[in-house]
Amino acid sequence: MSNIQQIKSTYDDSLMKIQEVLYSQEATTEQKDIAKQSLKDLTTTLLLHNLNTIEGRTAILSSLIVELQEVIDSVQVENPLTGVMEQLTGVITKAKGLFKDEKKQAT
Amino acid sequence: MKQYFCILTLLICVSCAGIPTDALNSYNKSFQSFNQASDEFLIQFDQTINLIEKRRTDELSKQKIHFQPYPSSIPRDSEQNTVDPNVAVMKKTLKVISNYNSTLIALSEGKSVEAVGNTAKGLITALDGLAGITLPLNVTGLVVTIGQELERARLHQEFRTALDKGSPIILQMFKIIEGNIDTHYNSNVLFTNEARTLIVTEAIDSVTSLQKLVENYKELDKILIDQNKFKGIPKWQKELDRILFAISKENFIRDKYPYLLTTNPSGNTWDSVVETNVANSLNDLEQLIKKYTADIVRMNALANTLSNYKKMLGLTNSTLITLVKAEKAPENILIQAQHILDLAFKVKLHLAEIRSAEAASN
Repeated sequence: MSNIQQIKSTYDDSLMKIQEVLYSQEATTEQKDIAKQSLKDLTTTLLLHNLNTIEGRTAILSSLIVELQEVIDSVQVENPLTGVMEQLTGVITKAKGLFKDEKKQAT
Repeated sequence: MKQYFCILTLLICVSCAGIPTDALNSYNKSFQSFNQASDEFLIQFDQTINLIEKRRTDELSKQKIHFQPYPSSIPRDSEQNTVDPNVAVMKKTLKVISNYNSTLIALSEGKSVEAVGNTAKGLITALDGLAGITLPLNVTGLVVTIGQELERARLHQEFRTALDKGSPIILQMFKIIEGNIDTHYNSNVLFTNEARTLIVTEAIDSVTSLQKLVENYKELDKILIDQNKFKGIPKWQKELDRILFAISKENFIRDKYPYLLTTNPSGNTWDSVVETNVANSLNDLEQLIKKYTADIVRMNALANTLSNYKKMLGLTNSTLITLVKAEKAPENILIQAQHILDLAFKVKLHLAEIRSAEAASN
């Protein structure tokens, strides 16, 4: 039986014992008060266990978010050379213009 | 001819199976649906965690371990509607997965292929005639094709790398989200079991009091019942059975139901005061049982909603696995062969363009 199944089984058995007292028409007020407190304690223990589990998962999720973000950041959707080539085109076009002017002046 | 085969060989080497866009779109759509449905879940999840944390605070304050006249942790500002940190991280998880998916989509759309083509054209035009450089005539088409094919290959490699690295992370995230869905439901089961048990307890205590009240009185005179002055025990019994039916399947109740109202032959005479008390008692009992029924209805609705939500998560999980498998699978040989034929035709066309331009200039 897994740990989770054991917890569930223990909880179910405990709840039944508590209900046996609470639903009884013969149990005293004192007995019912004790059973009500047991019910609250049982519920609270398991709820806090759930909260701890959630918090543990949150810690793992936080580190996975960082990992996935690193993957996203490493992707190059645009060609890294496109920008360089565009700048080069600009420079060459400018240079051509300058050579033309120089040639005109020389002739 | 030699040129043709050299160029074609280069292109075949870099050319490869395309990005599995169908599988990618299927996964992306699936995740978007799940993401939309997550808003409602996260609101409920936040409420559940809030209730548990309140229980924790109540317990700590009762333990009286030590005197501490300030809170153990920073209290949540209810006026600013701050979200629980656990829920905030869940939201961030979904956001980063969404961003990752957008990145994969951007890679598959390949907008940079056209950009590379345009840039290459621009550069060739700029180079032609610069400082005595004379490029082979009409070489632009060939250069653009080669450039675009190289860019497609680069994009695909980026996609492959992103998927290889990202998919295992996302699958882990999905598993954790699934765990939280289960824990959220389980926590609600715990709260409802407690509430339900207390309601049934109060109901049985109320029934016990009612039985003891009725036991003080003797059986009603039939004439008074016929005159509609009083309802009579059989009618009150019927009403009590109807009200308690909702809880009649509970443990330890089902063996005792129905709870009988019995009179005492040497008891008091039934009067309007006891008639009113019985009526009020049953009315209060009915309101109590309505709360019980409402809780049952709510829990069943929650179970259905979360079951569907988990199915959406399961489907998204499957589509991601399918995408990973599609990416790793060798492409249909016919599709690959067609792609190579298309390339071969393009290259041949470009070389023909170049040769005819050279011939015309001579």
